[in-house]
Amino acid sequence: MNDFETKIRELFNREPEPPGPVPRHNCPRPEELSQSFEPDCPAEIKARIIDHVITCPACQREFELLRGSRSFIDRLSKIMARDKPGPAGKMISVFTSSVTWWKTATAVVLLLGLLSLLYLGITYWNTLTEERRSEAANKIVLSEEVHWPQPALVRLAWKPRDGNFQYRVEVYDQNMYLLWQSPLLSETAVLVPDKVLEAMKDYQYFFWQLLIYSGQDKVSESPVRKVRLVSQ
Amino acid sequence: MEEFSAFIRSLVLRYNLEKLGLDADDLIQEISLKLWKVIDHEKNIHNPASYIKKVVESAVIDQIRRVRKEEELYTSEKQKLISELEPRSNRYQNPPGSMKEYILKATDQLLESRKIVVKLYLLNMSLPEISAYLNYSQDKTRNLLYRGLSDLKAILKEMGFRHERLRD
Repeated sequence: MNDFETKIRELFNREPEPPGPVPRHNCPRPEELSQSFEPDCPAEIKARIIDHVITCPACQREFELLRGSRSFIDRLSKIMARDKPGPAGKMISVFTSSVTWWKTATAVVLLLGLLSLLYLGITYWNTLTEERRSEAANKIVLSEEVHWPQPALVRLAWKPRDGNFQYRVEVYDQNMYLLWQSPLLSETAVLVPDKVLEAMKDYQYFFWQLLIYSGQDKVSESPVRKVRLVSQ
Repeated sequence: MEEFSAFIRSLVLRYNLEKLGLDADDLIQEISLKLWKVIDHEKNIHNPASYIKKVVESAVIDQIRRVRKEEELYTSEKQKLISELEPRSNRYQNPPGSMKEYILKATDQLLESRKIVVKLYLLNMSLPEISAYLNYSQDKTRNLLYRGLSDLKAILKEMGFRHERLRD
């Protein structure tokens, strides 16, 4: 059987090709020949085309040309299907695809994401710095020297911080209204001026706070301290 | 692509298609150029496989049209020259008594379902190619082909076709 298979085909195709072109008669159009290779082409059309092709050497050449092209296309399609990217590749291809709005939208989203991260980072850093400052401020040692009422004298003092800092003192009345604010000081103690003491003559107590500056910027502030004004 | 180029060249050479204006290099170059465009601009094409199919097919069909046009010119000129000398049919006939004619006559007696499979086989198509062409499974195609060839062998014998090479 195998021998017959090979031999019958060999015998069928052994006839010499007709020299030059052969007259055509009822030949299908090239598109019809090509269409017959489509899987959805009706069987009757395929049969009609094959019946013609097998007897027409001219169409046989064309059929063979189309057959070879089809086989080339199939192989190319298989290669392309094999090289199709996986889910990760598809994700990447979204970014490399030529859809411009996608690229723009992705870039904007990424930029917004980065800005948000940057903002959150800065806020967190500021909070940390603030926390460190209050921690440092809480460690500031404050003291007062009070002579009351005659002679009235109030000296506010603090332990200097390491580094090149300046200080400002703020004095508040019993209702926490600001009574006096000192100029920037490089010393570590200050006497409350007489006119302020005069304003406080009926007070039982007052409040004060030390503000610490680096240049013109406030670095930290101490907790508010309450000072009783009692007869000494 | 190299394999495809070799196929086109061999086809052109075998059928002497250059005489009719089919230039293998032109066809290959045209297809290659279009394919490179696909590869270069792959992102712009939703279905590259289908686009490639269209590119190759349209190039081949264009070439076939060109060849047919040349053929038409050639045969009409030739017929003009010989029509005065002898009347002739415009239908190509296999030489009477030729092997091809015998085999075709025998093939035409096969059952319809087997006939087309055997004819495609005689047209040098492989089993997977026949399956793809007819949209049959390979098992079905193999079955039809083997039965068809077996019937063909019997018919040829009945027709008195004796050829030493057919003996197995």
